[in-house]
Amino acid sequence: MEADATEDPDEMLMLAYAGGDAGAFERLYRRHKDALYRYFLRHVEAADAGELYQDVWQKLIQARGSYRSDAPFAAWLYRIAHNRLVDHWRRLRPQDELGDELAASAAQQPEIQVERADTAQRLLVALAQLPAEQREIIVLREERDLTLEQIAEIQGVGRETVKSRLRYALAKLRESFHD
Amino acid sequence: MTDPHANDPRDDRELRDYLAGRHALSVRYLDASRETAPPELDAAILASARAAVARAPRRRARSRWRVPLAAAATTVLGVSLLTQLHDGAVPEAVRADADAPLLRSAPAASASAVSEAESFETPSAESVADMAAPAAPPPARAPAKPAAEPAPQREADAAPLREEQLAGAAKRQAAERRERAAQAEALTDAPQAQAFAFASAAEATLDAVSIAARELLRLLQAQDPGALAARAPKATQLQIESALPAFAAAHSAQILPRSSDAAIWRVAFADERGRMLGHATLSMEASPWQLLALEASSSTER
Repeated sequence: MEADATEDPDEMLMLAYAGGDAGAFERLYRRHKDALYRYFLRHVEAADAGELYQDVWQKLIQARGSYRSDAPFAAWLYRIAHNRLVDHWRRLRPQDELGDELAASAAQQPEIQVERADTAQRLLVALAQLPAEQREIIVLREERDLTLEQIAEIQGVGRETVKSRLRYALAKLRESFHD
Repeated sequence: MTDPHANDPRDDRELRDYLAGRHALSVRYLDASRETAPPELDAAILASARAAVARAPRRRARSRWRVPLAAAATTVLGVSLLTQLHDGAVPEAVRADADAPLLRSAPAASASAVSEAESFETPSAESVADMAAPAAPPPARAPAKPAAEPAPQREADAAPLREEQLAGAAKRQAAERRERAAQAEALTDAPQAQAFAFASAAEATLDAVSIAARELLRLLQAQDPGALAARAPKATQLQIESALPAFAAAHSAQILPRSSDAAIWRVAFADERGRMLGHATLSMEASPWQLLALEASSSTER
């Protein structure tokens, strides 16, 4: 996370923004913006990522009055993001359920198709080849360090399902790297 | 489907290491994740956030006084009428009216609804009931003349008892409020609940829109909450599409074209003369339904 422990908690900033403090929003935004942007980049093409990213912040601005501080801000933010992502995919492929067939979307990005020897880029390619649900877990863990419970809440499944998906994801990534 | 990785000790160990932050993946991911949000998006979003709160203080500043004033007016009117009832100063016809459950919208009665609308949060069952059951009769039904003509001697005689009467009146008022809330709550079980009527054109304010929006929320929430969960947008959409026209037919509401975001619904509200009162923006983002925004139309808008 960009925020350190001495800074105001996200939840306090969000409540301050709901109370009319625009400066609080800016601080909150700067903490989360790049991670959220990458969350979308890992799932959709760059052009769509920008649009979805903007939509999520817009929705958060509109819903500021309904925010309740008993829920961690990051979990709330990524739940909105997840729902926006699902909505985006369903609009693209209304007949499909989220799953393997969507996994290749990020991998098909031209910039990722280019041969890359670099380990970091190999990881991005390997990630893009994971099913969307598994990839999302890795991204949420790495970008925001969300707990399995929080991710389960975001994905609307049980904790054990998330654990199982994560186990699969790690195994596949290990195979990709021949670890 | 069985999980081929579920019983693999290597997978278990790897999972434990990963969750404990001892996995090479985290280092690789950190190296790979250097992208940042485009500055033009930053500027647009921050400007939007500032604009949203710049508009808000006007509403809050106004409500800061309106709610306590309305609450005070409600109390005064309620105590006044109950005192008159106790003194026998109200004609039987008026008393019968006052005893009936009053479910009409009225300025004083809408105080709780305004307060809830300002928070833009999903109303609790109790607050919904409060909204539909005014705490006091509408001013139009509280006759001013009888209240202004208590016999002086009787007033003087009653003075030592006045505090006790007020306390008793307050208790009776609370009991009546609870009873009306229960009645209104029963009405909300029906999607076409008639516990709401629009305010007159002269009262075409944010109050009226907030009450209308609450009514809409109540209609939506009266449906199967499970199916309304954010996780089932298709099922939700079908249910909304049947609920909204019913609401519109009952309350002169107009469903506005949806934005590109299917999770957002906008509904315009009109009074009985067809004059626009304002519109509400609703989202199914976090189940149950949430009221995202509420805007009153200007008095000239049609």
